[in-house]
Amino acid sequence: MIDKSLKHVADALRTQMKDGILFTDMEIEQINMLMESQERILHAIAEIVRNGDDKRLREVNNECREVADLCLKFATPYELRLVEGLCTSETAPILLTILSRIQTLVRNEVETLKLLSRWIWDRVAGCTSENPALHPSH
Amino acid sequence: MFNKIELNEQAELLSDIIEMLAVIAVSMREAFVHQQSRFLEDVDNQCLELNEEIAFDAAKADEQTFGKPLYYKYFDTRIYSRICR
Repeated sequence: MIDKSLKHVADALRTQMKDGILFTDMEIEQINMLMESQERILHAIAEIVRNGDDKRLREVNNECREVADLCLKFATPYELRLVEGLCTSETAPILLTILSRIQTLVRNEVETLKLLSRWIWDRVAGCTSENPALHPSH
Repeated sequence: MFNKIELNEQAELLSDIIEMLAVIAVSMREAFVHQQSRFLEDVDNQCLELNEEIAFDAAKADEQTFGKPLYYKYFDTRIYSRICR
C-alpha cells in the first residue's frame, strides 16, 4: 500500500509536469518539504525495523502526524480560494491532489508503524505471549 | 535487538524493502524539483523491481513462520501487504 500511495503521488506529479501547470515558489517549497519529510520517515522506519528498536516508533509516528497536519494546513487556503473562484482553475486541483495523496501515504505509514510495534514486540519478546492484551499499545 | 538469526534476516529484508521505498521518494522529489518527468520513469521501474523483490521476500518470510503460532503469520502478511501490495 505504501508503494501504491507513492506511485499515486508520482502520477499526480507527472500530470503537473505533462500539463505544464506552474506552481509558485512557495507551492514548490511546500511540496518539496513534504517530500523530504517522506524520505526521512521511510529511512527512519527502515532503521526501526533493522534494529528492532521500538523506542523511535512514537517519534516517527509524531513526525507522520505533523506531515498530515501540514498537508491539511497547506490545502485549506487553496480549497477556500477554489471555492471563492480566486485560484487558477488548473493549479488548485492538482496541488490539492498531490497534498491529498501525500496524506494518504502518511496514513499508510502510520498504520504500518502500528503493525511494526506489534511485530517488533512479539519478536523481541521471543514469542512469549500470544495474548495481545499484554502488548504495550493496549 | 532481535535475538535470533532468522529474525535478523527477516528484519534486514523488510528494512531493505522500506529503504527502496525511500529511494523512490528521493527520485520523485528530484523529478519534481527539476521538473523532469523522465525521472518519474525511474520511479515506475523502481516500483516494478520492488514488487518482484517483495513477492520473493514475502514468500521467504512465510516459509520462516512454518511451525510458529498463526498470529505470527498474520502479522507478517499484514505488514508486507501494508508496505507493498
